[in-house]
Amino acid sequence: MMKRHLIFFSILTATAACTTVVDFDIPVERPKVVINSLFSPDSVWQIQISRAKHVLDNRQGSYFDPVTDASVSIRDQDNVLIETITGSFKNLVGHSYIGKTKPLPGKLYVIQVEVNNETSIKAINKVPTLVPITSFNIDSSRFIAEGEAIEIEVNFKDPAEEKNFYTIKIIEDAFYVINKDTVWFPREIYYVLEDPTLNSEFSEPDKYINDNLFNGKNNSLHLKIYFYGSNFTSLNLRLALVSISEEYYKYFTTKSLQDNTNGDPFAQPVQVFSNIENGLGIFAGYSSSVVELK
Amino acid sequence: MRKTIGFVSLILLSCLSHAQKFTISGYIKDAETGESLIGATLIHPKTSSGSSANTHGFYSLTLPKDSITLLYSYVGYQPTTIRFFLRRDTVITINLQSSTVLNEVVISGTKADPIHESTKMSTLSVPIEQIKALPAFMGETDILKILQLMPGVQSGNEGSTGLYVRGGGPDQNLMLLDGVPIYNASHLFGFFSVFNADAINHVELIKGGFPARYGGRLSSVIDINMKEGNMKKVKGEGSIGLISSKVTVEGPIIKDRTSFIVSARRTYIDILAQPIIRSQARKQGSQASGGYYFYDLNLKLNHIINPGNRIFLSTYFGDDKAYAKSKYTDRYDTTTRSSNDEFSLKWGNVITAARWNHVFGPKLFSNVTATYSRYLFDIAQQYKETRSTPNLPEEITYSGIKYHSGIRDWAAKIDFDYLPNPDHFIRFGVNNIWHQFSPGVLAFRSSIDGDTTVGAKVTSAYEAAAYVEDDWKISKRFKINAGVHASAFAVENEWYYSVQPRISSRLLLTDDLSFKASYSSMTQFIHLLSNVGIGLPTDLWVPSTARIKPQQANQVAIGFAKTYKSQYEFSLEGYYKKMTNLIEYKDGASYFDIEGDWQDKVATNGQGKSYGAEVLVQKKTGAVTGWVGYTLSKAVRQFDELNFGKEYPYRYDRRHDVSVALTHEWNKRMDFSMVWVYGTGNSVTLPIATYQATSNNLNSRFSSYGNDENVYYGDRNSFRMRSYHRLDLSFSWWKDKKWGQRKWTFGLYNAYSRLNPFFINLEYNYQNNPQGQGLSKQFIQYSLFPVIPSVTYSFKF
Repeated sequence: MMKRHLIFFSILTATAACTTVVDFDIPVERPKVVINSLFSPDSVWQIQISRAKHVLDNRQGSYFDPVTDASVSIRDQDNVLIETITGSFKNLVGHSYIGKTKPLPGKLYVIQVEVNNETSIKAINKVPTLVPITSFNIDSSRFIAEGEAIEIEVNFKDPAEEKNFYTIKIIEDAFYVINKDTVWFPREIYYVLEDPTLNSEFSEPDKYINDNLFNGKNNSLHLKIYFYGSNFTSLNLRLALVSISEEYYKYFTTKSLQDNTNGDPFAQPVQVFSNIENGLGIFAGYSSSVVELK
Repeated sequence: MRKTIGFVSLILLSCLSHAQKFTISGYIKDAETGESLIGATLIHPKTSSGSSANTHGFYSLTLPKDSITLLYSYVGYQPTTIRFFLRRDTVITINLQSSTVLNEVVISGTKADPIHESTKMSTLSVPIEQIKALPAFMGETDILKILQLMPGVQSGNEGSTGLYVRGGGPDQNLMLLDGVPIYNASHLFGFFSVFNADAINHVELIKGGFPARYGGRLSSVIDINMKEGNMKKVKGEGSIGLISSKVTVEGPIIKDRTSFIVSARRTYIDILAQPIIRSQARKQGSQASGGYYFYDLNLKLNHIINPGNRIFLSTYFGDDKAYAKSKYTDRYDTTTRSSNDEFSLKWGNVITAARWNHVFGPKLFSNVTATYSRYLFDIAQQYKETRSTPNLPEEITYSGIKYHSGIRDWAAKIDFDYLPNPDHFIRFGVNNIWHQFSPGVLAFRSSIDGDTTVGAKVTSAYEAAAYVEDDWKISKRFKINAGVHASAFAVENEWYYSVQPRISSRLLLTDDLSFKASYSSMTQFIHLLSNVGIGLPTDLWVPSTARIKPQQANQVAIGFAKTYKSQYEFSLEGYYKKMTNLIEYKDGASYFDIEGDWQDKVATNGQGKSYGAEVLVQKKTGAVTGWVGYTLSKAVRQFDELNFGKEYPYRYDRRHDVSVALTHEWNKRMDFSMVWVYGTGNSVTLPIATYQATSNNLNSRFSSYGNDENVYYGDRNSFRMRSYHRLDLSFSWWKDKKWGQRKWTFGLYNAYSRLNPFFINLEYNYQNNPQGQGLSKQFIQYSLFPVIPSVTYSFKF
């Protein structure tokens, strides 16, 4: 993003740009409660609760005060209580409240968080219906030389009756060895989305796609993965077509925009989308269709 | 419609009621140069009737058969009185003598067209000589920067030539050079404008109460007329300054029949820096050149065919160009590799106008104009590498990227001035414009991947307008300028129509004090997409489309105007302006992100509101001239898609704005001038909190690539930068030489070196890092220009 002001910056630095430290009266108020939860039928509820901090707070980087004394209730669209998670030791992992149940595809959920005597914090979202990968094509037989790419075609049918949003992931089962033990873990692989109408400079490295151009149609996406001297057959790769809710899409596209314009004083600042009533953060569902790339 | 017909019938009846009268018509010109004196007046004191010269210097006044006395006057010129018996239609061309030619230090000429007499309101004009006498940034006189000093006009960022008139945007100004719109009036990223003051005859800024003859923009009209060229003898002037040099030559081709004017300006930092760049490159074993310059060229030819017919040909072209080239050659084994890397950035305007003035009779004047206007922005980079090995074919690889955007207009119009009697000055005409928009095309060339072109398609549009207006003296004390401007716009099989009523009036309360009121409705069919408020050449002009509606504005203004001792003009005005269908880039959208349609990247249906009060005290004659202005104003915007739908202050909402511009001419050889400005700080959006982000990475939700914290901003533009103030000084002295005159001008921009805010950035304080604590954060204000001295050498012959 900075490139668009490169010339201007050059002029700026060529002239005698002077700097002054200035004070702004940024209001100091009780920091908002932040809720982050991306949920899918593949795992139990996981809700991270923390507090925002004043912009001039000099505790560096990403340290945020966790909220450990909250009560989290999850209800379905008929207001039936699914479960309540309190901030007891066994329910907390890091900043996250871990539940016992899993969300169901296509269902709408309401989360309500009570913290002390503060106004209750609320959010609503659903798990999008899973959109299966109907087929895929990959030329996995050949050896991929250094700098070469392997192309993957992914086919799926976009549901017609609703607006759909997607993201794609390519996951490698990688491992590391610790004390002679091999530990396997999933690692996301960088790829290039070939269709320029779906790509955007702001959504790197992740890609977020809406169905504006293919609503209700069979659609093909073309990806390229670059390898450096690896034999493809030796890799354990999976591809996930992830159906995401509109709020999920808005959160990550605005976040990408904010990350890209960060540090550019001439860009209009971007507010990251939030669907948390009386708070900040994101409560959004997704469901993944996964195939092994063999 | 019925009302309009009734109104026109009333005017016609009123016109026909006068009989047994004769008309005096002709031109009012500068005696020394033959240049038309736009706005010069003539008065018949006995009946208090009068008229003024139009933009071509033509006037007409109808009076009863009688012995009459006429007084011709113009600011800075000796008034001239003529007496004769009017018994038939009479043509009189008057040549007024400039006061500066006479041996007088203090100009005490009769005030022409007093402010309290005119129906015009919210209209400002500054004599071109006064513009040239005021302090100039780096010695480079700039008309737009002088207009920024007027009440109701904000300047945007430090050093910029942008104009923000009464809460309007920079795209809402109709900038006309000899009647042709200029789409991007900036050189050097907005620090200078394209208007070369040496080639300019007359400048007028209209902020409200728009006469019906103008249309197509919401917030202002800046009507700039080029000089016509000296009809009497060859004259020239020029200057050598820190930034640029310029020269203007004008003179007769056939004395009193045909004249020309040529004016050229160029910066030369690139030429001076060239040897340094080359020597630096040579040290690194390569060849390189690079630099930046702008130039402009104004040309005009003017031919009087006969007293009733005159033709003009005028053209302007100017470009800004930044370029860098490097060449590198090396050898390994038997292979020679040579690479060429080239970068260029260019933008510029071309405008051309052909005009034909025809006098049908003493009461009817016409002007037919055909124009072409083009703005183009072009950025290109290419790389080529050649590998030559004996006995092997030469290997060539290349890649390149080119982005261009622009707008072209072809226009034809005809305007009539009809002066049936002293109580009416009727103007009517039609105007047709064919637009062609190229809103951003990106082309890639590559020897490996092939060629690709992506971007928005070229869009054509047709705009037509017709108008009629009458400056009507209803009674001795009450006068109105009423009219209607009707326009249509066709794009992508969509037609938009607009009927825009306009009226301004003045009521004389005393002989030198009047009350004025105006209403104007404006429609704008084209939009400017701008990422930032610094007038970058990347700003895109785009048309209204089936999805993007035309912008509209309604403005009312009331005020008082007073002339004091024939030297001081005083005006007090209040205004309220409402704008609809505004567009703006959505947060974070970029001009370079051209994949997809620009229409998807803009927030639409924006509302704008601005209101305020303006005071101006102006003195145009005497040893001390200048003005003091003050504006109290508020400007807000509201878009459903921005700032969560809440109303927010406009970027250049400025509560208080003060300007003082004075020139003191001590004697014929020395003058001193100063400008002081003060303005409330610009509004700015600042972060107020940070909070934990989540990640899209499946196996690492809460810490991944991408920032793991989000920034929470306060409401859009809810903070204010520090106030802006600055003092500029200038001192000039002339000396007569055998060949003409020379002048030295010394100037100081920002004389007391105020560090005015340019932008605010949140940064870590690396100086203060106590153990156990993180780096503290602080807001840093960046300022552009401290005190900048300048020296300019000018000459006239």
